[in-house]
Amino acid sequence: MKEGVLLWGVPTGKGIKEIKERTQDNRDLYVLVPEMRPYLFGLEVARRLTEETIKHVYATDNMLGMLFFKQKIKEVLFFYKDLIDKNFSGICGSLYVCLLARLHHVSIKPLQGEKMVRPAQAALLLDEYMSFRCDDVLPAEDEAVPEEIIR
Amino acid sequence: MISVLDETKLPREETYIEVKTLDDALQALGQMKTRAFGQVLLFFYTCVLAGEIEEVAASFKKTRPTFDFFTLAHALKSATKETSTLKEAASSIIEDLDKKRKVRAQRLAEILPQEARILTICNVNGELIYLYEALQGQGKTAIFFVSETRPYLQGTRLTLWELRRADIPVQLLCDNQAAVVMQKGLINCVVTGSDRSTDKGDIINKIGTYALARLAHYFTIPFYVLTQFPQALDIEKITIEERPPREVFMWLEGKGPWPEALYPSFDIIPAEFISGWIDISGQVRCA
Repeated sequence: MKEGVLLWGVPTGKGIKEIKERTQDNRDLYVLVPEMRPYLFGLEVARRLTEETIKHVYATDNMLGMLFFKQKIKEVLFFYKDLIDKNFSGICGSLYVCLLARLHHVSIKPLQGEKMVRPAQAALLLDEYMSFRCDDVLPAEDEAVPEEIIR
Repeated sequence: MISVLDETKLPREETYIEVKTLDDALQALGQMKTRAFGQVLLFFYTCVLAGEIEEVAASFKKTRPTFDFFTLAHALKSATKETSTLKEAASSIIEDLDKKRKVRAQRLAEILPQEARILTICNVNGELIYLYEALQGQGKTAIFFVSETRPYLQGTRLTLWELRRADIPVQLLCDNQAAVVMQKGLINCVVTGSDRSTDKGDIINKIGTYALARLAHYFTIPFYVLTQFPQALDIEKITIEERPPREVFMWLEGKGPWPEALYPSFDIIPAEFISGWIDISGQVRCA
């Protein structure tokens, strides 16, 4: 597997256009789409990329550490929701991804993403996508990523 | 015939599958019907009762290449010198290992905080229950934070299930919430098992473990590993099993078609990100 660009968050139409341009400029570039638990936003992003005929590879979130470690990711495109007081607010897991990128000296490009909202009951980890439910769960919330981690 | 708990059905059903031949055994192993180190070890020692030790080890190794079945085979062969039958040898190893795991849990409990808030991943075959009992015995309190461990959800389906059945305080989180629970101080230590380990302290464990170790190191949270049989070898030379990509979507039935996917099953965790190792003899080594 060659070096890739990792998407985190849900790109807007403009974001998808930027990804498409990058893949057209560099045919060897692969686009990595993490699952983005608990809501599996990755499946939605993968669907949008498929519509735009952008080739991509799907991975679970916990595989990203290994991919950073093996230097398979050269850049993160972080589609945040808001920028508040020098903190980028992003979907659940944003701090995990941005810190891992930082610790592996991988650059992070913040881009305005879509503000995907899910109903409160779907905040359960094993939500409607899974075949069973669980109650002892940590609520899935948006996460703040300090600007100094990104820049 | 061997009855094997079908872990892929947990926690919804406790069903057992019948294993009558080595082929049945390999199929159960390949389909992850039984999968963590402890279960596989038990399964292996049961299967060798009906076959030739080296042949079973070679077949198992082919199916799950990251596990070290030859060391298990060697241990069994050595044990047969002190017992009259192979069955006695296998039973004695398994009983001995269980006793050692209880001792190991005691040693680990001694170095954990008074109010232990423990993040864990995947499944260590019931040993967290021993750990909880040991912590209580030492007058300490504990709550476990279990990372769900995608894609097979061993954390959710096995560890959470085990701990809840034992009435132990537990909370489940997405794998990607590890950083935020560390940042907020919700946890104060990480405990994981290891499928392989070296004498230098590098380990191999379930995918997702490396990220936990790296983040714990960043937040200066101690990261402890339970090890079995450390070996003098280069960790990079161990084959990392690649599972079929379709398994990434196995709990999402009916929502396909699925995109192209990756599924490396294990992470390598360099020793520099590990704070302490507690081996099967109960010996504690801290970095």
